Amino acid sequence: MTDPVTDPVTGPVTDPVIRTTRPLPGGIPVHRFSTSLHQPHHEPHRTPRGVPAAGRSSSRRARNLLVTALAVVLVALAPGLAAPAAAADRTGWVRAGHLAPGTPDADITLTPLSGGKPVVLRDVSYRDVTDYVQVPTGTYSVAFRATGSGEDSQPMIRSSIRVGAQSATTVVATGAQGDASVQVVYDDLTPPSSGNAKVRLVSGATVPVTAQVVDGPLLARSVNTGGATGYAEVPAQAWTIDLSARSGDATASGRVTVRAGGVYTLFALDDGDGGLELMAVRDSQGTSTMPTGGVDTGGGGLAADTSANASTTGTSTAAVAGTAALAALVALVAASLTPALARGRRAPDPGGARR
Amino acid sequence: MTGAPARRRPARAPLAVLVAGLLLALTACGSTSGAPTDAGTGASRGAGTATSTPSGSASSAPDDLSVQGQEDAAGRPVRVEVPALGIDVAVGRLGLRDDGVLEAPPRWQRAGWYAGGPRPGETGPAVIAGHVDSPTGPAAFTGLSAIAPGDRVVVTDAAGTRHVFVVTRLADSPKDSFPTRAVYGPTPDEELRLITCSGDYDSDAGGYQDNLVVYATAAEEGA
Repeated sequence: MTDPVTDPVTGPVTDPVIRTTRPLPGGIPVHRFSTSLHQPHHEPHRTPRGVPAAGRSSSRRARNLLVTALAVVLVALAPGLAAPAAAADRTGWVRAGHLAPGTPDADITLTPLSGGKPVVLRDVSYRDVTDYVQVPTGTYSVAFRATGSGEDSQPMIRSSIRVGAQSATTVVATGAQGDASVQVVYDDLTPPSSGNAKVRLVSGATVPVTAQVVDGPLLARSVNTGGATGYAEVPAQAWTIDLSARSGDATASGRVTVRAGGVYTLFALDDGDGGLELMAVRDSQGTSTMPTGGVDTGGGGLAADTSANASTTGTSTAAVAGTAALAALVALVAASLTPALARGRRAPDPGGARR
Repeated sequence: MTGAPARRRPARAPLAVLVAGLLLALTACGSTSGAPTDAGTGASRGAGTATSTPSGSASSAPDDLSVQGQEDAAGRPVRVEVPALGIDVAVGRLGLRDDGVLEAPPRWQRAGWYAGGPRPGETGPAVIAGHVDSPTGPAAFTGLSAIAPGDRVVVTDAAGTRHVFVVTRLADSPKDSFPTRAVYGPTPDEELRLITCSGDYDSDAGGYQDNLVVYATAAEEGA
């Protein structure tokens, strides 16, 4: 078990730290939203802009000019080619969990501060974690009200969250009876490395807990009520997780099968009898191995081949157009001469046709 | 389902239970490992919890936890339809080439589902690729670029279940800057990606230069 396992407690945690917030006395808490959480892990831009290396500047400038010109031509020729990302980029996901023993069943209202329709997750009781709901980005107030008490009633507990584009957030109620509060946990949607899954722990237990993946990483060390760990990467398989209270002798243990490409949260809970229990939820799922690059999904039969004279070395567009027209003409003639080809026989399948 | 709130696709829960039952029945014939599957148990509250064990007595193998949200609710996809475009084609399986690139569908008139990812109807991005044309004419995904946000895509699985998705966006990108994470990365809900070729066709440079990716998400119940 020396595979790619990241220890979230002692080892390097590559994923951003999950931030939780606690309500301030007498008001809506201030939340720090980690924008780095959802940024792609790109290589940083290493080329300094506007500082071309001496001697290469003129050729680079010429090339830039050419590229710009081409871009202008392309844009002019093909309006609407690159459809701008629509509404999907302006939504994120939110879910709620009821991890507060002794707190009544709740209707959880997410109200956008910018106005708009509230989202209500109804009848959420202890040990429930709802599915994610997709909502527009923005800041929301979050109110846990006793189920059925009406949307104008005084909330039992409340908080606020910021929903970022294509991000996932979990709001959980935690704490002992009469001492519950809302915690906001930001969920990771970045993929684990190939063949691995990501696992973390969120604690609703009212005592500090430690969680050990047997033969794997230490997942949590003395995590307090409402706390969340970073993510550990583990190979996809069945794992046993041992949960224990820092003080006292309460323990729980369970086997969880994680799949490659999956992101998981383990919830630690009071079992209502002085002990602990574990609950497992798959937060999100990607492919087990992410393919490299794009896909070759075309034979070119409906396209004008641009390979011949259409390279970008200054051939006039008229020539390109002429070539394309010629190619189209040839294709038309060929098609009319061999109707059988179009009708009956299909092209050999790509396995054979493409070398 | 005793009053469970905001559960995953409530209307499909009975189906999930049915499928789970079927799976159990099937596995009973073959495997005798006795390991309980997690299928279907997500429908009952608290099913995913392990009871506490008094100190010192937990030496035997611990219980398997059911994993909420990890129910196998879909069969292998066999057909994909875009009613608005008249696309209706069979779906095969795709794997990865040795160099890690997604295989092209081996048949022009048939789309392919990336079997290294979720099935349509399961949590995560299910990916189906199809050729935009053959060397001589139309192919499985000819005309896909005319799809628009709001259009429906229906994937039928081997059990005959129809999984309905709604297009949220589409984007062209050069193959060498393919949006890998957006296409294949984790999602919290059931998503579908349709991939085909687009852009210039340059036979000297490997054919089409771009890919068109259609992003769709599971339709709301009753949509």
